[in-house]
Order: sequence, then C-alpha cells, then structure tokens
Amino acid sequence: MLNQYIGKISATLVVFFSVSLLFVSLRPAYAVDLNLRSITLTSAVPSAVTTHKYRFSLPTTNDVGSIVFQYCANSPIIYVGCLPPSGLDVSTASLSSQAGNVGFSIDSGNSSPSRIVLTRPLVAGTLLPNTYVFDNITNPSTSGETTYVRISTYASADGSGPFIDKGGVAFTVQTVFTVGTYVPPFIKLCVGLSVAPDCSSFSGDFIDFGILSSTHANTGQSQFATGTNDPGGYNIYSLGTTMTSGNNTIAAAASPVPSFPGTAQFGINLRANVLPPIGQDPVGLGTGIPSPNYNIPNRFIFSDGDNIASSPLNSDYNRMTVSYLVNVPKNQIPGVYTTTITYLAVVQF
Amino acid sequence: MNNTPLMARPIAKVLYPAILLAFLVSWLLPTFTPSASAAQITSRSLTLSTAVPSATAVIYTYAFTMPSTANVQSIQFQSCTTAVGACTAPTTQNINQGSQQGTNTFTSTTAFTRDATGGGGCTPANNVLCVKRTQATNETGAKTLAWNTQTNPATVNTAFYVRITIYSDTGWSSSVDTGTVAAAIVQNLTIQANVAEILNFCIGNTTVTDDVTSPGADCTAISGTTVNIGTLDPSIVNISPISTNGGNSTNGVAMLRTNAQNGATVSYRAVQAITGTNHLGTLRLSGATCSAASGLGTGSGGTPPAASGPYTDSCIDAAGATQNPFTAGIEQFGMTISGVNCRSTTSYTCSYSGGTNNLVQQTNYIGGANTTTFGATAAKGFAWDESGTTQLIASSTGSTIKQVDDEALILNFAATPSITTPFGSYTVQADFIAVPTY
Repeated sequence: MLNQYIGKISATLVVFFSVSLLFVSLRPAYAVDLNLRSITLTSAVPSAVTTHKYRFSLPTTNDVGSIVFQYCANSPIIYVGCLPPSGLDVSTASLSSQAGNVGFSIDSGNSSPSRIVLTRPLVAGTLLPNTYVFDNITNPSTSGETTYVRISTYASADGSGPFIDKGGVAFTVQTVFTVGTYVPPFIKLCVGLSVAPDCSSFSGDFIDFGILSSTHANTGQSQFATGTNDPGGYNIYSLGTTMTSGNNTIAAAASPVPSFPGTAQFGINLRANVLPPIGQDPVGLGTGIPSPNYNIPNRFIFSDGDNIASSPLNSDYNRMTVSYLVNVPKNQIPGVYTTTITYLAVVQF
Repeated sequence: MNNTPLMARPIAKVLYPAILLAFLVSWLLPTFTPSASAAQITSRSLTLSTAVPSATAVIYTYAFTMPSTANVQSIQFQSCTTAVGACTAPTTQNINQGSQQGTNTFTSTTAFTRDATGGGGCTPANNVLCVKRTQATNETGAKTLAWNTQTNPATVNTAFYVRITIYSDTGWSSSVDTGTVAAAIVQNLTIQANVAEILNFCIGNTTVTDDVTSPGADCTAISGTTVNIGTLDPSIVNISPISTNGGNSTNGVAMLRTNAQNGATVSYRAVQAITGTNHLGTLRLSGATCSAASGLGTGSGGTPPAASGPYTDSCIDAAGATQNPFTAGIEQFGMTISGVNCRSTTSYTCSYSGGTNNLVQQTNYIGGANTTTFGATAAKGFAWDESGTTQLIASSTGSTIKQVDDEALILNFAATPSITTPFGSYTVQADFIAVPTY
C-alpha cells in the first residue's frame, strides 16, 4: 500500500514538473522586442490581393533558423490565443525580396492561411535592418478591422520551440474612398462690345455709328466668345433685321460683298478687314470657325437667322469679333437707324 | 514527633543560614552581575532600507525603549535564524561592517563605532556586530541607532532575528538591557503587464471644417465612404465641402490612433480604374478612353498641368504630386489637408493652431497658409498623384511625441473642368494606408 501511494505521488510530481518545464520552455525569459517594426501594404482594400512589406531589426545576434508571421484579429500579444482574420489568405504568398538577415524561403509545410513561416539553415542573426516582401497575399475582408501580425524568431527551422525575439505590428483595411462630381453639359456664350476670351468678363451692348456718311464706310464691332463640351459642337446664329428707321431701311447685303461707300449696304463678317479697317480674326484654342460667308475678309453679308460660326466637336473657347459695315447713298432718307442683333448658340447634347 | 526536633536542630543550624545567605545573594547578585538582572527593552524594532536577499549597503535602523537608566557604552547585535536558543547565523549575512548612519537619538549622541576585536560578551563575527563609545551619561527611554553597509541574508522569504544586548561599560561586560528584534528577507515581486500595439485608423466623411468641432470621438464614430464635390463649372473651382448642385456637404476625414513609439504615417494611393485607358487614377467617366497627351499627361512626378488643353477626354487631369494653384477652367483635380483636428484627442494637449498636433501634414498637402492655419484655397492649391504610387500626406515620425491619439486629417478635394470636359459623372477612388512603426 505504501509503495503504491508513493508511486502515485511520484508519478503526479513527474507530470507536474514536466508540464511546468514545458510552460517555462515556451516563455523564454530573455525575449526582446524587435526594433523599428512595421508593415506596409501596397493596397489596404479589403480582400485585395496585394503585397505586405515588413521591416524590423533583430535586437540580438542569437542564431535564427526561422521567422514566423502570425496574423491575428484579436491581439498582437504572442501569449494570447490568436483568432485568424476573416478573409485573410497568406497561404499563396511568395517571398519576393528580402534584406538584412537573408537566406530565407517560405516553409509552406508549416505555414497556413494566417501564418507564414520563413526558414533557413541556422545562422547567427545580425542587427541589420530587415525587409521581407510577400506578394500575393489576400487582405482580410472586414473593413475597418485592425489586423495584428505577431513576428517571432526561432532557433528551430520550422517556427517551433521557444521564440527568441518577438514583436507585433498592425494594419487596417479600409473600403476605398470615393470622390465624385458631375460635369454638366456646357455651352458658354458671351456677347458684348468687348469680351474676355473665356467669357470671364464682358462689357458694352450698344454700337453708335454716328452720322452715316455716303463717302466712306461706317463701321463698328462687337465680340462674342463661345465654347462647349458637347461632342457634337455648336452653331452660332445671328438673329435680327437690317438697320431701319421707321419704314426706311438700309438694304442688307444678301451675299458677301466688298464695301461700296455711297450704296446702301448693311453687313457683317468675323474676320480682320482692311477695307474698311475693322475687326479681328478669331482667337482661342477652340475648334470654332466662322461660317464660309462670314469668313471672307473685306466681304460683308447679313441675313437674319444665318449660321455665322460653328464647331463640329467639343470646343474650347473661341472669341470672334463681329465687324459691322454700313454704307448709305447720298439720298438715304434722314432718320435714326437702328437694329438689334441677337446671337444664339445651339448645341444638341 | 520527638525525633523531628532532634533531627531538625542541626539541620536548621545549617539550613536557615544557608537560606538567608541565598536570599541575600539573590538580592545582591544583580548589583554585581548585571546580566542576570538585564531588563527587556520594549517597543523594539528593526527597519531595513531594503529587504532584497543578499542586498549590500543596506541600512539597519534599530529602535527600542530602554527600561533602565544607565550608561550605554557598548552594544552587541547578534543576528540569528531564531529568536531564542542556540544562534545560527543567517546564510551569507554580514553585519560586522559599516558605521553608524547619521546621528543616534541617545541622550548623549556620541557616535558608536564598530569594534572588530570585541571583548567581554561580544565576539565579532559576520553575524555579530560589536559597537561601543565612551560616554558616561545615563540613558533611558526611546532610542534609535542606524548602521550602514549591512549585507542581507541570502535566503528569500525567511526571517532573521537580532539579539540586542546593551552594556553600561565599554567592554560588553555589564549588560543593562536586552531584547530581540526581527526582520524578513523577501523575494522581489515582479509586476508584469503587456501593452499591446494599437492601431485605429479610419477614413470617412465629415462636415467638420475646423479644429473646433470633433468629427467623432474615435473611429467608431467615423463613417461614410464618399465625398461629392457637386456640379463643376469652368468658371469656378469646386472645393469641398460643396452643399449645392449635388454636393454632399462633406470633406474627407482620416483619423488615426496609435501607440507606435517610432511614429506613424498616413498615405494614399489612387486606385487604378480597371476599365478604360490612361488617367486611371483621377476623376474620370467610367470606362473612358482618355488621352495620355491630354493636359498633364501622367499626373505624377510633380509636373503641374499644362496651361492649355485640349481637355477633351473624359478624365479630369490630376494636379500631380506637387501642390499647385488651381485656376478655374483649367482642368484639374486634387486634394489637400486643410488642417489637423484635435478635438477627439484626450491623451495629451493637442491644438492645431498651437502647433501641438503630433500628426503633421506633408509639404504638398498643407491647405492653409501654414501648418497652424486651417484652410483650403484654389490659390494655395492641391495635389493628386494619379499614378497609383503611394503618396505620403501626413506623419508623426518627425514630432517630438510620435504617438497619436485620434487626430483627424480634414481632407479637402477640389476640381475644376475645362469648357471642353465632357459631361457626365466623374469618380475616383483612393486607398488610404496608415503605417505605424513600433
């Protein structure tokens, strides 16, 4: 009886001390934190297949045969049980580059979807900064969740046994952030005696020809600028009548004609003229051009509703100068002659 | 009965004087052999400056009250593993060294000195300290005497006892009072705690545009995945927040909390569109085929956009990695950080206007006049690298304190179209990345 009792006690003590020694062996007393440790993701998009780049330095020169990268959703503390992040998959990771302590390859036999084991023949560690780049890692799938990676070094070749040094790093994956805006259809048209090339300013809406003379051309000018993002371009129309004074009129030029002082003429064009010296050629980066009848220097025409300029495609601003020519015969009936010209831009989005 | 007197008389003649003599001797003996009549000192204690096993340079402070009134000219301190009985010296303890620490509180404060030779009832040893002084002053009552350079016993979680004998003479012969004090040697208790690496990083939108209102107490209060800067017009530069014509009245916000002692960085990467060609990381119509030659071209490398178009493709050119002013009508898209919001920070004093924020904007992403002034203007400009290369926009690595407690970057997005920018809904996506270095 006594021998049996002593035997049971001995067996119990053996088990107790064995377990105690195992526990002690798994928690090295002199483990030191890895220095300057970080993880950089090429993409932090949930579930993206991307690259994880680790940087850290060993704090000691102990022999290192393996390094373990354990991904956990709950804690970076190596003594705490690890919950694998949902959606994470490092089982297909490849080691695309390494620096510092080198000579490692992935120990796929001891790796798992949430654990990478690097292995090499047992070599003394160096204090050089380490970089390990793993490609083809599938990020965790839960946006906003922090993922911890427990990095630990081992003397064994397979990440088993007591770790030498350790440290945690962390990253988060985030749903991509979207910036949105809307570009509406544009047709910009500004009219005035003077307008900026981009319609940022304009001024004047009245041309006074003064006393009309039958011996020389009477001229004036206005400007308009236009542009559009309509891929079909734009058309500019001039709307109005020739100059009138009650029932008396000055005849409009029905086709492009030169200036003949002493005859009744009212016309316009969009070019720089010499006879008479009035107007400017179109300016601007756009693709708008005057219509053919209005694109002949020193020739003038006016017809209500004419398409005077257009662009066949979306166009940056063009500023065009409208030259007005008025000639009257000697017998032109006196009066105040006026007209109102309206410019209309038409696009079809 | 008769025999008794006969027998008692001779015995009585001897016994009675003997009893009387014994009585007298017992009455007078204390006078001549003080040790036999030494009184017990009271209120006695021993205080150690440290109870760490084997500690050296320890100060032992003895305190006791003398019941007697007598000279005190020598004292023996004997350290034992027990309070009574045969004395066994505590392991590796050495009290036979050092000197009086400070001034004693005897009536006469003449200092005691250690005597390495001893005498009388005191023989110095590692566990025996013999001290003496020459001072014929009567002492009584409470006393303290401290002795330095003592070496503690080595055995943890054990007590040792110091037997104190006070002598009136200088040779440890005439004991006055005695008593025993005790102290314990205990092992160091190690308190260990792990502080885990912390990273809370989030991206969302916010109506906050300053450092006055908190965008949210922490990342759990940050939400939203979109900033809409409304409807563009070539005559203006739209800068978030835009509350009209489709704008959703928000800025972007990126909040960071980390205890990384080497700091943290915040970067973005323009997500490359998976359909279409060119300008894949800027505002673009879905699936658009854009011209590489349009405007800025690649939108990276810090080259500012061309001053002229054509801007006829369905991508709004990015400002590039270098901040540059925006001019209305010259097609550009970009981002800046109008400031760092500290209103959720509780761990330290944080003020953007005071420059005490730890997370600091990088050069090309300072929206205001400087890093203490909130703002985002077309004149100061914006930056956006559309190439997909990670761009650093803020960091705490250069700050004195590198940890960050819920500091929030207020992100402003801006765009202006060209007159020829095709109409439609434009979007770009960004991937924000925080990298703490522990």
